Parts: sequence; C-alpha cells; structure tokens
Amino acid sequence: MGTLLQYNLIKYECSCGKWRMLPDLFYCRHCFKIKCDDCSCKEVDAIFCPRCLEPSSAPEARMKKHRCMNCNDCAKCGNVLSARTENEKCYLVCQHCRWSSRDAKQEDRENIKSWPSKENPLTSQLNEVTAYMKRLEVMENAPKDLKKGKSSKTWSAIHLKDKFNVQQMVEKRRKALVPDVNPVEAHAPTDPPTLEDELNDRSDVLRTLDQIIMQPLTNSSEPLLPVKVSLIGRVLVRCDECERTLVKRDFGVVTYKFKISSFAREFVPDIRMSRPVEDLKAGVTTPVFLSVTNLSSSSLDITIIPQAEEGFIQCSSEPIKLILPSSRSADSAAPGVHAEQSEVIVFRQHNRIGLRLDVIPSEANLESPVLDLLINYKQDGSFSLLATSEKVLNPEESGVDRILTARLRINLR
Amino acid sequence: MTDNSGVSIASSTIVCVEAEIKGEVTIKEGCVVHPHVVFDATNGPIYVGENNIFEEFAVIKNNSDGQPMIIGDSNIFQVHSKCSAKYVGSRNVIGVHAVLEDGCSVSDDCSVAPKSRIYSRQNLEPSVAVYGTSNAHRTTTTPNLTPTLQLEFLRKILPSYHHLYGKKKATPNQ
Repeated sequence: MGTLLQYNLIKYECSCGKWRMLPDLFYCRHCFKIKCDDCSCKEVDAIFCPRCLEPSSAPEARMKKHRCMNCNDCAKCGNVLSARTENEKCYLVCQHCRWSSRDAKQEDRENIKSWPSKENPLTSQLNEVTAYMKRLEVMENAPKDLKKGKSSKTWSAIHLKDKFNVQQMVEKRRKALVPDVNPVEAHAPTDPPTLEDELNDRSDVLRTLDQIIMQPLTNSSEPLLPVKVSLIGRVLVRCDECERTLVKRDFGVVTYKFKISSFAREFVPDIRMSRPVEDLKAGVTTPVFLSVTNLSSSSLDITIIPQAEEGFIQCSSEPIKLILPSSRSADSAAPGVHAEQSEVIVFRQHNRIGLRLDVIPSEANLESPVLDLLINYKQDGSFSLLATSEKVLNPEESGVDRILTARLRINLR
Repeated sequence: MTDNSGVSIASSTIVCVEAEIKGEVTIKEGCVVHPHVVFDATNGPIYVGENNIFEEFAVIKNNSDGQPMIIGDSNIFQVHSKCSAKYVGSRNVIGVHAVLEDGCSVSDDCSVAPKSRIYSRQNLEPSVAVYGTSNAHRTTTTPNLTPTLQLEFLRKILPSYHHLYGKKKATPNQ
C-alpha cells in the first residue's frame, strides 16, 4: 500500500531526528511529538499462533517453548502440513513438496495434536546446574538481605540471646534447614565429531541452511521432524516520554480493530505527490504537484514553507497559507486562501487540496533531487483530550491552540 | 465453439458451456470440466482419459505439429494451470498457475506445486514432486489420492448451476 500511494518518496522527520514514511509514524498527543518505531516503547500484548489463532498466556507460551502444539510446518519446504486420514489414523502431508510424517519415520497417529519434536538430550543436566546456581545465589544473598534488614521484620530465634539455653537447639535446627550445596559434577569433555564422522552417518542428501535453522537440535544422521509453528506476539506501543499508550488493539486475537490508535496520519497533514514529476533539468523551472490531506478530526490551519538549505532543491514559490476542513465537517468550501496565492492551488476537494510548487534544480542536486518543506500547523480544539487537571492548573495554556511543526523531505524522482 | 465436429465427449462427462473447445478433442467417461477451461487442439488432437478434473481457466493446448497429446486418468489440473505436454500419466496434481511447457512429459503420481514449471523436453519419473521457486525435484513415497469424493460432488453440483456443453442448445454465449 505504501508503494502504491508513493508514500516511500516522502519522508517525515520524527522527533528523534530520523526520517520515516508517514504511515510508519505515531503521534503522542500529550507530548505533541511525532514518534517512530525506534523512539517508542513496545510491550507484548498477546501471544498467539499465527496459524490457528489460539491465544496463550506468557507462562503458557514459555511452557510450550513458544511453539503451537497443533500446527506443523513442512521440514523440507516450510509450507503448511495438512492431516490426511487413512484407516482411522492420520499422518501429515505437505501439499507442496509431498513430504509427509511418514518420511520422518513417524508412525500414524490417532489425533493430529502433539507431534513429537526433538528435545535437548541434556535438559535434565542443564536443569540441575541451574538449580544449583540458584541455591548458591540464595546463600550468597542471605547476609546482604540480613544487613538490609529485610528479614528483621520476621521474628527469628537466631537473634535471641541465649537466656534459656535454647540456642544449641536452634543452631541444630538451623543446620538442618541449610540447603544442600553438593556441587554438580562437571561432565567429562567429549570429542567433537569430525567431518568424516558426520559424512559417514548421513542418512539423506545434504540439507539446506533453512532446514537446519528450522530444527537446529536435529543431527544430520536423524530424519527431520515436522516443525511446530512458532507463536507470534502482538505489540502495544507507548510513548517513551510520557508512557501513555499510542496503539492498543482490541481484546481478542481475531479482531483487527483498535482500542487506542494515535497514528501520525490522523494528526499531521498528509502530503503526497499528486502527479509524477517531469524530467528535471538544471536551471529550468519545473512544477511539482502535491496534494495535502487533512485526516484529523478538526480543521487545520497550515502554512507550508519551502526550505532553501544547502544540498536541497531551490523552491521559488512563496510560503502558502491555507485552512483545510476536517474530513468529518459538513461544509466543503473552506475559507482562508489569499487571492494572490490562488494560482498555486490546482484543485480543492472536501478535505484535500492540490498545490503547485515551482522548483529550480541546480546542477549539484540533480543526482538526488530532494525538496525540503517545513509545515506549521494549528489544530483547533483537537487537543481538548488533555487531562482536566492540567486544564485547571494551566488555564491560559489549555485554551490556546499550539502551533505545531512537521518537516518533510520529498524525493522528486 | 464454432467448429465442434472433431469434439467427442463421453456421456457421463460434465463440460460447462463456458469452456472453449477447439479442434479434435476426445474426453472419456467421468471427467469434470469447469467453466472457462480452454482445450486448443488446432495443431494436433487431444485425448483425455477418465475421471479428470479441469478447474477454471486451465489451458490445455497442443502446440505440436500433428502429434497427439495424451492425458491419462484421475488427474487434477488446478485453476490457471497451463499444459502443453505431450504426455501426462495418471493421478497427477498440476497446481495453481503451474506450467507444463511444450513437449515435456509427466508420468504417474507426480505433483507439480503452485507456480512451478516443467521445462520442455523434461520427463518426470513416477512419484516426483516439483516445488519451490527453483523448481526443486524430489521423489515421494506419499501417493496422491484419487479425487473420488470431489468428482462426485462436482458431478452433482455443477449441472444445477451451469449450462452444460452440447446438452442445452439455447445458451447465452452462442
């Protein structure tokens, strides 16, 4: 969609200084700033299987190793495996390359769920070592916790003076309660397999890198197994400064609606090329046709100022001042265009306006012709979403509409 | 559909009237031909066996000079597939947008994945699957199923919503 509407030619400046396409940007209406992917916080909102859309909670997903139990992919070509029933038992077949679970030397099963996957053979050993490390951590941190006075709140017999001669008994009990610290034995080093060994017990033809990456634990001597589909996460986007939510999807995996959405398109004037640019020649004035659209909920008071910096195309047009009604307002005719500027306006639709800017490219910037524009715009009343407490605290600020700016660069190629 | 002198279609075969059949085409018992399938036998005859399914926009075209094109039994030619092979065996699946180029031949139980291509003069051995963007080949042990249920369903449902070739004379296209 972005390439179809030629959004890729027009880059807006994010508040962090990066240049991005407008559909990729968010807008924080509390900080009045444009936010991009890199300067916003993201958190995983829901985890689900992309194939069967079954949602799972975070601990559940960790238990399942972030894989779906019901959906499988082909180990050969990565396409969907579908179940085929034969004699009341089923097996999985790839409709694309005809790889099946029978090729994986798996017997047919009665249900399509829980096909086996290769597990790490050292799992129990690994768990032992991590448990040992955790015990050590507890013991090392115990004196620190005591010093901090964390455990002083709970009454303990250790802190008593030996008035009644029970200290001995307490000591004995304490010793019994101290966790075992039998160190785990380091396992003997094993010889790494040589290339010859690997080539000798190769069961089938060479595997592609994609097939190996899909199941890294499977040795080359073992047959490939059906690959369980990995779960995906849906994110919730926050502003990194005020931590308010910018994008939040509706509850439920199946819906595509938004609970909160504050994309930059809905707040910043959307500028696009309305016609392809003719061939640029050095020193010749060439028209550039742009369309400005107001997708916000209130009318915009816009001033477009062409910038004439080093390295950018010179624009001979004067700054343009106009008022664009919102897409929701009923009246289509908008006032506020000066008569002498009317030759720059090509067309005027409901909430869209077509502009003509004249550019004079020089020899130096023919290689990469980029037009630099600065937009000052004012929205009336759209920021009444500010908290009521702030309105009470700064009444003079909340009443006045702020002048906001956006910078964009248009690639005239 | 102007010249249908060489067309011979068995009685139990269902051919929709929107299908375009040119030249000498023989279709045996039990086949199903969907609308907008093209059989072009102007350069040479086409012989089709039993119980084949030709889905919408499949193009079966004989490009050889007088050599017959032979198609066996229980094949499925899926939507938008193009076939100008000289021989297609039995129980094959030709996927969506798959292309069998001039003069290639496909034996039995093969599966040509969507968008893949069999080049001319290529001969597929039995039970070969062709897949992926690089047209990888591999021999399979999984057989293609014969589409009995699908055929039965289509034979029942297609005549109730389409005019059939050769049966109704007053058709909107003619």
